Amino acid sequence: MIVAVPSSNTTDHSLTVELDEALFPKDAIFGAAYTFIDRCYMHLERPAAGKVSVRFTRKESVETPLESLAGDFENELLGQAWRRLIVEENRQLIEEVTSRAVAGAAGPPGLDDLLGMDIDDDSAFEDPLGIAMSWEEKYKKKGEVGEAPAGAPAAPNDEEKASR
Amino acid sequence: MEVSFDASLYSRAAVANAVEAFAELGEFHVEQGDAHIIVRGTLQEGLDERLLTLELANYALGLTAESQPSG
Repeated sequence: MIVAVPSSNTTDHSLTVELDEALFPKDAIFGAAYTFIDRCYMHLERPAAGKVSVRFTRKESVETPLESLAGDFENELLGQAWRRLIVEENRQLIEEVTSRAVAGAAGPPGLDDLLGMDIDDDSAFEDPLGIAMSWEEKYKKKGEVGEAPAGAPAAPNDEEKASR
Repeated sequence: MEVSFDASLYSRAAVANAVEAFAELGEFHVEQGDAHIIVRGTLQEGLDERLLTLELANYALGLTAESQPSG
C-alpha cells in the first residue's frame, strides 16, 4: 500500500512516500526513483522491515506541486513493477527463443571449423556434414539393400566412372 | 555535512563512487556500518551544505539504480 506522508518541514519542499516492499520490489522502487532525479532530490530509507520510504525534495527550478510529483512517481512505480513481472514471467520463453536464434545463426560447421578440428585416430572418420554417404546408402529404401528407388538417378557404372 | 544511506538499499560501491565524484568539493569520510553507510564531510567555503548533501544522495541513488540487475 502506498501512503503519502507530507513532510513535517514544509519549508524544505519535501514529501515522503512509504511503500511496502512486498508489493513493490526494491529494483522497481530504484527504477522509478531514478526517473525523478532530474526534477527532485530523492532519498530512500527503511523505516521498518519490509518498508521503504522515498523522500522527494523538489528542485528549485521545478514548479510542479510535490503532490503531483508523488502521484507521477506512484504511476511510474506501478509501470516499473508491472514491467519486471512481465519480464520474469517470460524469462524462460525469451531465453529459449534467443538460444535457438543463436544456434540457428551459427549454422553447420564451415571449412575453417573443419580444418580447426583436432583429428586423431578416433575422430578421423567422423562425418559431421554427412558427405561420406554412398549413393546406395542415400537412396536405398528400408529393407532393400543396394536397390535404388524408381525416382532416384541412375548410379554411375564402372565404365562411366572410368571414362571420367 | 552528514548523510546516511541504508546499507540494505544502497550499494556500498555506489556510495563510495558518489563520494569520489564529489571529492573536489570538500573532504569526505565514509563510515561503513552493518546497517548504514554514513558519509561525513567538510565542504569548501561558500558551498551550500544542504544542496550538496541532496546532490550527493541523488548521485548515490542514481549509481545504485544503474547497478541494479535490470537497471
